[in-house]
Amino acid sequence: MTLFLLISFLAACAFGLVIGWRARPNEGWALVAVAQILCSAVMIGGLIVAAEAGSMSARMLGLAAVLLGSASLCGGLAAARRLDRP
Amino acid sequence: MIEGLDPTIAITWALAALLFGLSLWVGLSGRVRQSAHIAFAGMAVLGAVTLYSHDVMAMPQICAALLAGSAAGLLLGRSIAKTTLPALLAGFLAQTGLAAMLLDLGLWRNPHAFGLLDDRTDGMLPDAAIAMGLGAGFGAMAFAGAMTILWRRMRRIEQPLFASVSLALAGAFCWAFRADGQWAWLGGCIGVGLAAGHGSAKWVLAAGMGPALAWVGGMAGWAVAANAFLLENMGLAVAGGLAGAAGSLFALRLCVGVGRKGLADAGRHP
Repeated sequence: MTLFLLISFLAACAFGLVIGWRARPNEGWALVAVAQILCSAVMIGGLIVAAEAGSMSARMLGLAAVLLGSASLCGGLAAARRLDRP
Repeated sequence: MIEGLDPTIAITWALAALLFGLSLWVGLSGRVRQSAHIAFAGMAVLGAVTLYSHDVMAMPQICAALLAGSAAGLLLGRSIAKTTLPALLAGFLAQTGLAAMLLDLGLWRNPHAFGLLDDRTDGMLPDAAIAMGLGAGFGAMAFAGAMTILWRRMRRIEQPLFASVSLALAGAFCWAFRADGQWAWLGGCIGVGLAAGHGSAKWVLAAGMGPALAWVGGMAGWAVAANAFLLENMGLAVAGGLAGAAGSLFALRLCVGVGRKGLADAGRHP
């Protein structure tokens, strides 16, 4: 499983490097906005912790991560939609 | 097929990974709206397969957190003036870094539920400890970097207030874990990350707010990727790897002077 994860991660890094190299500076807001949405995937991690944690403190921390991550995801989407308008 | 992995989960992870990659590719042509929608679709697919593949014990609380967070995010994203959107993105990246730190603290509090303990020694597995330290450290870097951007660029009342509340929250969580006895390793990673994030953001800010945001986004991406190895989730690994590599390289390119105009001058756009 770890090898499978590592291969997927390295492939994603390679593709990300290509994108980071090819992105033109004047179109970089798209990259920043999409990267911000992709980083909101931390919400999924919080969801797993909140779902499976046995202790109350760990569950509360997971729920806090879900709260912050979902705000970041939806807010980032709304901000990206507005960035596209003239 | 990978041993022990449900084919449905593997196929759905692959679909989410494809959507994440496609969103960045579409973003290359400057179509922000389409790329954001594709990334959101990928996130929805990843969330759905996560709920499908785990025994969810706290569904009402999770739904409440999701709804409250989404409503607050949408309200902020739609109501704030367009000229302050870059600062809003910095605020969201700070939230992401803080969420990564909280996630690692949650895993630290309950490691046996996620198989992070060595059965023979009852201590944390070395690779899990490294991934946890990296996740918390990069999360702290993203949080401190984004806060530095906010402090530098925004002089209005609400931004320092937001930064103070967030810092106080992070400090309270760190203080709570100080009594744990195993605080030193994770606390050290968070402390180093906060200092490194502040210092690196100040350095990148010299090239403009855009490169600084891309840099902080890259750090948040690496934090997500480190947590993906702890939770053994391919979708998280791909999302983190894409955001980390693309954001970091793009920021470094702009910092070393290759075509600084455009993103570097955030005062003109949006």
